[in-house]
Amino acid sequence: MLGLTPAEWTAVTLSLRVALWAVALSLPFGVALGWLLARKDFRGKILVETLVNLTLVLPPVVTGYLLLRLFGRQGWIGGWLEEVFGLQIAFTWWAAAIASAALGFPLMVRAIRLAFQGVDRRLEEAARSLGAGRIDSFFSVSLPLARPGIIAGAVLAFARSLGEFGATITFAGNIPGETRTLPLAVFTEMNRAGGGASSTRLAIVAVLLAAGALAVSEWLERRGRSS
Amino acid sequence: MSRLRVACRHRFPTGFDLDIDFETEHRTIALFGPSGAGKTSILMAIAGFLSPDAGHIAWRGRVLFDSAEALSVAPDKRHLGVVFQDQRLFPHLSVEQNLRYGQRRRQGSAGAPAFDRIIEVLDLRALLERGPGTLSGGESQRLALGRALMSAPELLLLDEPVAAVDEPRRGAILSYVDRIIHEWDVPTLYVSHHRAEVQRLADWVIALDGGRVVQEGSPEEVLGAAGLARTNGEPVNLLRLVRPVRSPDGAWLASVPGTRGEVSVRLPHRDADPSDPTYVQFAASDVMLARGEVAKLSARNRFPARIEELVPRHGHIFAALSVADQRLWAEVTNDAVKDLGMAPGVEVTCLVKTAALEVLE
Repeated sequence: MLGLTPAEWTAVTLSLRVALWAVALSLPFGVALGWLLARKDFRGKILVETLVNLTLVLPPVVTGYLLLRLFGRQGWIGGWLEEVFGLQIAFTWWAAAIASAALGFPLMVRAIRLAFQGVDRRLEEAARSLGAGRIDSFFSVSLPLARPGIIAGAVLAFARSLGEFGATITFAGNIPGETRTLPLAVFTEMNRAGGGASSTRLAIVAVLLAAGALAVSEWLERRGRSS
Repeated sequence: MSRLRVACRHRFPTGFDLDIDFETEHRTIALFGPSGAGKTSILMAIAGFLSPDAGHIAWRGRVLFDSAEALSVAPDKRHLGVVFQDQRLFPHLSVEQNLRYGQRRRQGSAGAPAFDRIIEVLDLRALLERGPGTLSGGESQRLALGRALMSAPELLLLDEPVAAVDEPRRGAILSYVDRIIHEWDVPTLYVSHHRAEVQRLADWVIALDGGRVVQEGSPEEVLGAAGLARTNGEPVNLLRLVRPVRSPDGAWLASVPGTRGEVSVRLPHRDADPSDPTYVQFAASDVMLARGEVAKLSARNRFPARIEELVPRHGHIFAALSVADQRLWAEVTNDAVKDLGMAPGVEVTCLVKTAALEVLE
């Protein structure tokens, strides 16, 4: 399809895999934090909000650099992971997934927070009066009612992952087959003599994926509004 | 023993002060008073959604809330059923799933009403597959009642259950509430600012005003003369009628059951057959009083009545009347009282135009 070479296909499927994992890793935290910010007032809430939104305004390269300092072999978490489990994160596709998750997280939390704010608290009270505990009422009432917004947030984070470049190249490198995602492949081909055709093919795939994600998100939002 | 003890003090951010204390063993209790009297706040405190600044709430000897002991039972552990004024149906569940929600989670010791019986009594069978968003106001309220019942509550809390329903359908909802209370014999606390509703449903009335209990007693006592002087609002007449029959001219006639001979009342024109018993409601200002022989007059409904009491109010006089064993009110002027020589014990004839009667289904 589209005359993609095996290397280009690898970049596309790697991008999808990285984006899916990025969403899967961040979604539980996104739901928890979205709910917390929507429903609770606590000391340091502004600090938490700032931290969540930080990667939205930081240059992605800086985010990638900070992740590298954190997860690198000399980093707090990276050093510990290597020592205890012999795991290396930086410059693997896991690093690409973590970088994508960090960049997509503010968008995801924002959508989920709005979704929970839209859930009528009085319905949660009604659930409690019918014998549902806090956790039960969350899973049987709040979560299903917030679902369209949660899915929209996940789709948004997924689309953001597909476009991630700066943090990925800083934290995960540009290793063919391991961390060379679609945007990195486009960049590499552009800089290679005779890579113009390949860049164009990859760019077309990128446009299709982005448009598809937007269409899904729009459709979910409409469905959420009408029900 | 169905003893309910509620004592609570609470200051709201608006400055409104709630300070009430009551205890009762009656099974159908009405919290009665004008809006803003604190009725719903008390209901929410019993249900566990409002933590009073100080107080003690106990039901059947089980303490639900006690500020001194820093005790507050979670709302889901109180075994109470709440029918909220705004219904609060789950929009993501069907009618049947809404009904089953509480059934799966019930923890009370009370026996669960059968699902089939509930949907029959509340006429919900045809609606089971639908979403709550497609229901009318009356249907939504029936579903809210059914959903609360299905959780097998030990005490049912009803917050103005007819307020969200259009005026003509209110009587119908009241009949459903009436049926539920009697069929399942579930203790009920009923919040209302509507005299006729309270008179019809409650066997004990707690009158509130400005966050205080102003009176407690039987509906007769509280809604009667003494209550009238303490609570705001006009008295409303509610007459219970039995054995409706169709007269040769096509109109429906129903009787006032009573000890001093039966009195027949002509109902306003209607398409459907009236229920038995039927309730008619009319304002005190729609009642005329006459003494002696009444000559030809267009008012169709005439009952012999005895004046029990004369209560001055708002520059008028409300005459408390007994018709058979029921209580009616007539609003008359000072001048009329003098002219007719009205006084407690005097026999009069009550005249009410048929058009002034409103039939509650």
